Amino acid sequence: MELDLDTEMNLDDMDDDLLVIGDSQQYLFFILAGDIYAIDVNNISEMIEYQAITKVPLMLPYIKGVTNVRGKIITVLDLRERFGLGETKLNYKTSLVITNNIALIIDEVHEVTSVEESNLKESINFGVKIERRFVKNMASYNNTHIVILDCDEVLNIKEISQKRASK
Amino acid sequence: MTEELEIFLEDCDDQLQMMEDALVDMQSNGASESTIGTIFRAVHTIKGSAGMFGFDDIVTFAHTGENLFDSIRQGDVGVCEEMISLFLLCKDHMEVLINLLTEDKELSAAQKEVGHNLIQRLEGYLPRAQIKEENIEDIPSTIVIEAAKWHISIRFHKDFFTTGMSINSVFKFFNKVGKVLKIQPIIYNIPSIEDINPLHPYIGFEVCLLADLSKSEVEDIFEFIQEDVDLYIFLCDDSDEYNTLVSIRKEPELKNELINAKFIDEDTLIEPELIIPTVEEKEEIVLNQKEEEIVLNQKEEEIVLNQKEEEEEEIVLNQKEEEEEIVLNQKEEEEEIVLNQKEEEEIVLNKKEESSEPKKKAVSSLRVDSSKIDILINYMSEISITNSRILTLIDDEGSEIGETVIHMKQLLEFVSDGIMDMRMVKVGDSFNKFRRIVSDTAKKIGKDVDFVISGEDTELDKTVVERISDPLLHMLRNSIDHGVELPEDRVACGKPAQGRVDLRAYQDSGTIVIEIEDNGKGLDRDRILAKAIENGSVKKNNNLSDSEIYKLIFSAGLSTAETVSAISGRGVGMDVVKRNIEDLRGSVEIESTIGQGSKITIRLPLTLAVIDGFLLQVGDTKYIIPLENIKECIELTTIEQESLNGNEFINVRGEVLPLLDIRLLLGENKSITERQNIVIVYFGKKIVGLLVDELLGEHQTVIKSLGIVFDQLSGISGASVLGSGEIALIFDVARLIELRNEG
Repeated sequence: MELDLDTEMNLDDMDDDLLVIGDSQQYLFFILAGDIYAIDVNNISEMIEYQAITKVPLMLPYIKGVTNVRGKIITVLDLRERFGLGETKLNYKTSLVITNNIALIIDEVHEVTSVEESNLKESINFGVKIERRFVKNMASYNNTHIVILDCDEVLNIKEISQKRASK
Repeated sequence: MTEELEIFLEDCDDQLQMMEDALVDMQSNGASESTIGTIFRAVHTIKGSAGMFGFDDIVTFAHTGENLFDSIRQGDVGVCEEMISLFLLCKDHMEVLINLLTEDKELSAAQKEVGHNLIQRLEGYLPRAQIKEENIEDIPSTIVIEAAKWHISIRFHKDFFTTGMSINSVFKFFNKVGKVLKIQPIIYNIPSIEDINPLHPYIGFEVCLLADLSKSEVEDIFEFIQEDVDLYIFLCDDSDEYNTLVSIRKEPELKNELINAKFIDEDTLIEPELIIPTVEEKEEIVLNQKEEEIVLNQKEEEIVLNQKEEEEEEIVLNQKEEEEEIVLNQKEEEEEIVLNQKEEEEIVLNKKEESSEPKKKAVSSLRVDSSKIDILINYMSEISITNSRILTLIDDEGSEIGETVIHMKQLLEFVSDGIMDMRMVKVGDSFNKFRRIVSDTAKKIGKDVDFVISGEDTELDKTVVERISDPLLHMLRNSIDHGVELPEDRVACGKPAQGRVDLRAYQDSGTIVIEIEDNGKGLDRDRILAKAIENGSVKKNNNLSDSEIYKLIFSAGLSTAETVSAISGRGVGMDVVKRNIEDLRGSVEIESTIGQGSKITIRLPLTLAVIDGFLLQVGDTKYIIPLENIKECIELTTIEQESLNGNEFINVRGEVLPLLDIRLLLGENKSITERQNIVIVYFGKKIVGLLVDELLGEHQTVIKSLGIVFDQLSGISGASVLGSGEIALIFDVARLIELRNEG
């Protein structure tokens, strides 16, 4: 019994360490248009299932509207459309990742895991389907290179708050 | 910042405002007893609370002001125009000192200099006598006398026992330091048994103590309780002091008590009325006379009340007589009456204290952080939404549960109305703040302006009041700087030399209207137009109406003032003013006649947080129009629809109204229903018909922000969560009408 208690305590300690002890940082890995992308978990306040969205007119096509998250009004942005990868086709795996009061529509949550700093690399030009400016850096992950998104750029308010050009 | 400090700062704000109001009042109506009193109290309160926090700068500064006002109050110093300006400067300096606390900053050298100067100027007005007197007080009386006989007269404050002291321990102490030669308990202050509060010490003592102590050492006996007792200590040999004692105690029976207890012979005691006050007391008596005058003035008002109280007291008096007979056995009726009179006086005095408090305090109020109310409103809306959700889930309004939920809904509406009401404040307080700025501004540029405020009692949401304050100030300054002419110019035009600026507030069909009107030179239509063409905001061959041209002054970078003054003319500001008002879902309009003046009309919604709205649908999205903006709804038949096709106007019972197709405006494609409706909305004097898809009914709603992403979206002012959890967007009618007119 005593041993069990000890291990539990150690586990708790370790959890904290994962977040605190530098050199490694947790990321959310998710699927978008068939590829895996990552976001620093520090940018994320919560993840929820896709839910009904109220359309707000006159906005850019990737600003889908607003949704009600426990009484709070959250802007919804289609990440695929933002990257020019076509509109998201909804299915039961479609999720909303909420960062800074804006919900990003993603195709599927993959996993949350930590990446050591030594596994982070400068962004590379080839093999990346999205604009370079959205890429913060790259992470080695299961022998592939994964794009870590630059949230500030993805959610650039000046850019995404523009009105749709009138027809 | 600690909570206490916040309270202190808030209180200081209030006190400073009161002070300023009183000073401005003094400026226009001359000094009166009540304004002087108000200012004195404000300075005193600030000094007191600042002292509690140890803000020495404020205390020192306030102290000088307080001294001077004390002298003014006593009539030793008269008030002149210069002094009022000085006081206004002092008030500003006090504000600076207090603001420094908020910012947690040290006083700069320049500010110190200002403070020092002000103190010197204040002291210049102080009567010499008072400065001297203070010095005298500072000299401690330390004459050592061996084994002197001290007379100690002691009365205990009514909350003496709550300090944890007992009367016994006082006497124990007497016996420790010396020998009690004589003691006379004073019991005539004990009320009848019905009125007695067992926790109050009604008793007092006259004691003759033989002790080897100086006066200050005797006083030291009472060091721990000196706040809780009234003491009078003097040498028994000094018969004059007994006279003083009798006069300050104001207890008619005391004389007899002292004689009976053989403290003193009857002959040595003069009648209290004939006592010639010693130099020290002169001041106090002058003060007392003042108080009595005030009492006399107020007595008239209190007569009715007092008569009632007299009746009651008579009963008390009778009971008292009986009781005192038991206790004392010998009491003369005459004295009873005197006592009665004295009590009456006390009551009047108390009344005076109450009634001389500022009127504002008469209504007991509770200070609540407005963010707490915002939180409540938020929760209220969540509860309402949840409640409507329950109703949709039950799906049977007739059932008992359904009825209960509906009842609940009504109750919730009461509660939310009540909470909303808490946010409403009268605009008067905020308007009165402008008085001084207006008079300062006018003086600075040599204009003579009569500033008239009306509708102070109009209530408006606190947030709106706060946020409208700066824009209003800006427009007032504009009116004075650009509107009202210099006195000589006015006379030359055949107008009275004194200009007039009106600030009015009133309610008009669900909106609050604030008007600023001046009788100055009015807006120069041609010059505005020329300027606008010059800076490219308007094309040369335009067809603008007068009101459209006037509106140009709200666009950025347009100022027709030929010289840039410290007050206005930089061409920034009016655009900010307009934006601020629009942020509050309000609108602003200008009317003007050359040579006669201009009028700016601001319309604001009653409240920001909650609106009664009308729910409707356009395309896939639900929208809410504030009910206060809706004139009527008209259903369109298919035939009418066809005849309407492409038409930009609609004929409603002979009246031609401009029409705005919301679907077109919002870029929605096809109507989802066969039937279309027209909602006729108005804002101010403008009316527009909105072509929408479906009408869904009334809906009370809490306005929430859509988020910064939608900041540039015009025509939509916010969003609201419906009972179903769905979100509806709220139309900004003022903006929609503008969009329609802009085409």
